[in-house]
Amino acid sequence: MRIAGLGVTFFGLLALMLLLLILPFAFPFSTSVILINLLFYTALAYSINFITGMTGYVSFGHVVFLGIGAYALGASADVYGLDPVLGVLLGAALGLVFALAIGLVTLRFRGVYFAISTVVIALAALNIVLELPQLGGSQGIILNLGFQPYSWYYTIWGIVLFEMLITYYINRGKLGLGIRAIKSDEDAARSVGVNVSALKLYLFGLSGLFAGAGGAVFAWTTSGVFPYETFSLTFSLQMLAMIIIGGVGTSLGPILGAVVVYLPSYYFLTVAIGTQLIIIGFAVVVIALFIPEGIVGTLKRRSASLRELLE
Amino acid sequence: MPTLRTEAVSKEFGGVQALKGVTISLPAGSTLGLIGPNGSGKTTLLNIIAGLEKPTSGAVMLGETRIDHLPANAIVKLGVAKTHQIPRPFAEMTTRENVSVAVMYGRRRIKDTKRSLNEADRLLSLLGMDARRDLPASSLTVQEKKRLELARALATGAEVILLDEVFAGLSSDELRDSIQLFRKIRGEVGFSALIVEHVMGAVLTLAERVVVLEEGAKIAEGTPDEVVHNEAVIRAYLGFEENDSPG
Repeated sequence: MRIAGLGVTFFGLLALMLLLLILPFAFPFSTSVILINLLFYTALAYSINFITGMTGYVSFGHVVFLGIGAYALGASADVYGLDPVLGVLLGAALGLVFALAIGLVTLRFRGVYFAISTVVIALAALNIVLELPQLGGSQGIILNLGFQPYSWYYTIWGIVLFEMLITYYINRGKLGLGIRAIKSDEDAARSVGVNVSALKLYLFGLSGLFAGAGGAVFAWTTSGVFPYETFSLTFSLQMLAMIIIGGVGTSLGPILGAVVVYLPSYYFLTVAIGTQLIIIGFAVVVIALFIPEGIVGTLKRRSASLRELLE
Repeated sequence: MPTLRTEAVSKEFGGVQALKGVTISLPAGSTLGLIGPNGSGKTTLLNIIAGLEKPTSGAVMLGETRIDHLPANAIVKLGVAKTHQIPRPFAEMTTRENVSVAVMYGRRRIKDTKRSLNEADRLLSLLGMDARRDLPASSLTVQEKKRLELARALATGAEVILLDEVFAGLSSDELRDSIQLFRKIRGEVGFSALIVEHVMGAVLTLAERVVVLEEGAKIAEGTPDEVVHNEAVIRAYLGFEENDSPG
């Protein structure tokens, strides 16, 4: 059952986003803060899904784009008093530019070499930032943007909506087929005419753009940018965990993964402090061992009726 | 449909001369066999034509267009496709999706998913693989994977198809079937074919002309009949000295 080629997954996600649109009015602020965080992690999950989920190139240092976005908003708001929403756009733009520049070089590496190169870049970025007094060095940048939950909420909501639409658009058409071919066998994909290098760069650019936008929102909500927190590899690990658990490459997997990883970790952050990463790590190992395609991928494989519904 | 030519193509790998000024010509619609002992440079020549490797010197021309500096995916879009010697299906994708990728990204650049799947189905039925179309490509037999290679090459809309040992490793029954199938496809889809084999049987049956390589150099060219009676070829294949009498 498809309407204009759009399936149940599309309308399901759309309905969910519409629900999220009105939800802040139905609940007290404290709930909105949980939702903001949930959407923030969802945005990160969709971001890394573009490159790692779709092509299998593990962007282990993906946090670098989050950091770039955070510093874009931090510095522009701090020095030029730029409106935070414009700061988010700037973060997205810089995320894109850096991803294209970095990807041009690192996407030539394959497998573990690519993953290592991204970690090296993330570590280098942290050390560069620490040396730059303009960016506050090890002190970071403290902003005074105030408590703006609705602006935060609808900005990150908009980012997630864009990511979902683009992911769905890619997955259902020609691009998605070519990308799956790349993930399966890059050289064979090239030999049937797929422009492998351009497609990989396109996806890496998208993932940098949205990680940058997400990072900017992160700086905005925390009203500051602090180097060790911002460039923390924990973010990279969480992003990977979310798409692995949810289902790599799919349109539904990232938000599912974000819910499964974030909501319990909210509990662990407040109640069972310190156990969050242990639990996530354990969950990833179990998933990778027993259902490597994640929740969505496994449901699709197990059930013919769900195969059509879940994308 | 353009003529494919290599002009004095040479290739050096770290001091080893893999190809020494090889010139071949594949006129539109023709079938050229390329044979030679193992390590004679056949696959290297094919890879250079397909854009997987760059020649050290010389040129590859498709009609009036020089293609040897282009990346492999661009050469496919100009209408030259190659099959892999060891099949490389997109294992996780179904057979028809495998073919569909080639339909969409090949020379014809069909954008619509439905049309491309229909075209994939048409080609798969031409190759007698209807029953396999919804199975993951990883589940196919070796022979079926070889056919899938051919299906993908055809699906790109190629006018020139480079066949790298598609007839190797088949039983004699399978070989006979494959040769018949190849003739049938040629009857329905027009393309020129460059067939590389180190077993001669299929090439001698299908090719109008045959080029023989030995240690990177062209040592003979002619009709299959001329080539099998050529002394240099017999020597290359069987290692006879000039004064030895065969048998």
